Formats: sequence, structure tokens, C-alpha cells
Amino acid sequence: MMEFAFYLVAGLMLLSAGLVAFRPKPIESALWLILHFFLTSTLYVFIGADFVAVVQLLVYAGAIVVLITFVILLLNLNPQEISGGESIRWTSTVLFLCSLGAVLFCLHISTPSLLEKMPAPGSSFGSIEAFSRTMIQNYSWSFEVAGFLLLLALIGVGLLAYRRPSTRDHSNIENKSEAA
Amino acid sequence: MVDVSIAQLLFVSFAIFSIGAGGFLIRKNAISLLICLELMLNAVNIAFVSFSRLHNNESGTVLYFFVITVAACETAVGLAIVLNLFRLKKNIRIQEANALRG
Repeated sequence: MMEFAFYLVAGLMLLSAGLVAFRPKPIESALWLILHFFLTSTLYVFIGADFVAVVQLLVYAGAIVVLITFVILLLNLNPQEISGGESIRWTSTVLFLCSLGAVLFCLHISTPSLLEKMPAPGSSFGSIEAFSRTMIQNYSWSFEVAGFLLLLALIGVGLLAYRRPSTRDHSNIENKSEAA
Repeated sequence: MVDVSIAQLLFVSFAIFSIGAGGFLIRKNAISLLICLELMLNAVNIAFVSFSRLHNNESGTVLYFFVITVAACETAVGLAIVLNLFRLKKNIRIQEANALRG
């Protein structure tokens, strides 16, 4: 029964990933991306990583997709400008799929232990306590660097999105100087 | 908890990464490119968490945490660049973002 649930979730994940990647309108892609992240969170629950599942929902579905959707709505593009120009090269696609199949087949031949069921994890696996112990004890420096990276991204986005008042109405200023 | 093998999880991760990479190469729209990038990072995260579960070691989960930090930064900066591109060109087709070509 749980096997069936896993296959159902995995199939829906692949389906929603295809819809995210190949729907013509970005807003449809963003909405399918929410479903994809929900299904990913379900997969994390299935393999016992509970804290990761919660973080997936909070950060990805809650913050990143909302940011993308907000920018799509802010840009307010013309419908005819959104898509077009996409061309699928079928030869490359078939070659890529064949090489992918070859790699997976070689992996299957060389390491059959990959197909064994995973052993049951320790009782504390996936809990917030085990996660934070590992992070603070072994990776505290990386944690600080990640915080610094977020600060830098904040400053960078502020600089990029800031519009200087002098250049805001550039055409108006030129018109005024010509009139003067 | 479901009894699955690492091969099944890795196949899901690999397939989603391939779909994201294909979309990234095919799409001509800057926001769609960022969305496909998120898809690829998400696929990598599935592989990290699966190996973390396989070896009963939380380090993979910590790496997942760092990947979503970088993904959040990348999305924010990328969307700010898309916003500037829209102000400059009045559309977000990446064929027309050729100011650095010279």
C-alpha cells in the first residue's frame, strides 16, 4: 500500500515537473511549481525526513514561489511577448535519452546494492534536534557564511532594484532642457 | 515511512533534474529559466536527503539547508536582474539580452 503511495507521488512529481518546465505561460509554471514542492515535501515525509519536509513547504512553497509569482504579476507582460521561439531539437533529445539510459543501465549492472531496501534509520533521524546538533557542532562556520550570503544578497537586490531619482524621468528632463 | 531503495529515489531525482535542464535549455523566457533552475536545485536536494537517510547521517540534511539558502539568494538576485532587463528592453526574452555581446 505504501509502495503504491510512493509510486503515485513520484509519478505526480514527474508529471508536475514536466508541466512546470514546458507550460508556455510563466504564471502556470509557477502554480504547478507549488504542487511540485508539495509533492516533494510528501516524498520527504515518506523517507522519514520530517524537519526537511516542513522547511521545504515553508521556504520553497511559502517564500520562493510567492516571490516569483509576485514578480510575474509586477512585470505585467503582453500575452504575445511571453512565449514563442522555443524549438525542441529532437535529435539531441533522443541522443540525450539514450545516453541517460546507458548510464542508468551501467549503474544497475555495476552496483546492484543500490536496489536493496534502505535500512531503517536511527530513531532521531529527521528530528529538529539531530539536525541542529549536526549543524551547530560540525558546520557552525558554514552556517555563519550562509547568513552572510543572505545579507549580501539582500544588499545586492536592493542595489539592483533601486531606481535613481535622477534617471527616473529621463525623457522628461531632456524635454525640459530642450524647451529651456 | 516507506520501504524504498536508494535507486528509486535517485531515479526520481535524476528524472526531475533532466526535465529541469531540458526546460532550461529550451525556454526563451527569463522567468521560466529561473523556475527551471529551481526545479533542478530541488532535484539535487532530493538526492542529498536520500543519501542522508541511506547513511543515517544528518550531514546531507545540513547540505540541503545550505542549498535552499543559496537557491533563495539566487532567485532574489535573478528576479532583480529580470526586473532591470524589463526596464531596459520592455520584455524579458533572453534573445534580446545581448548588451554584453559587444
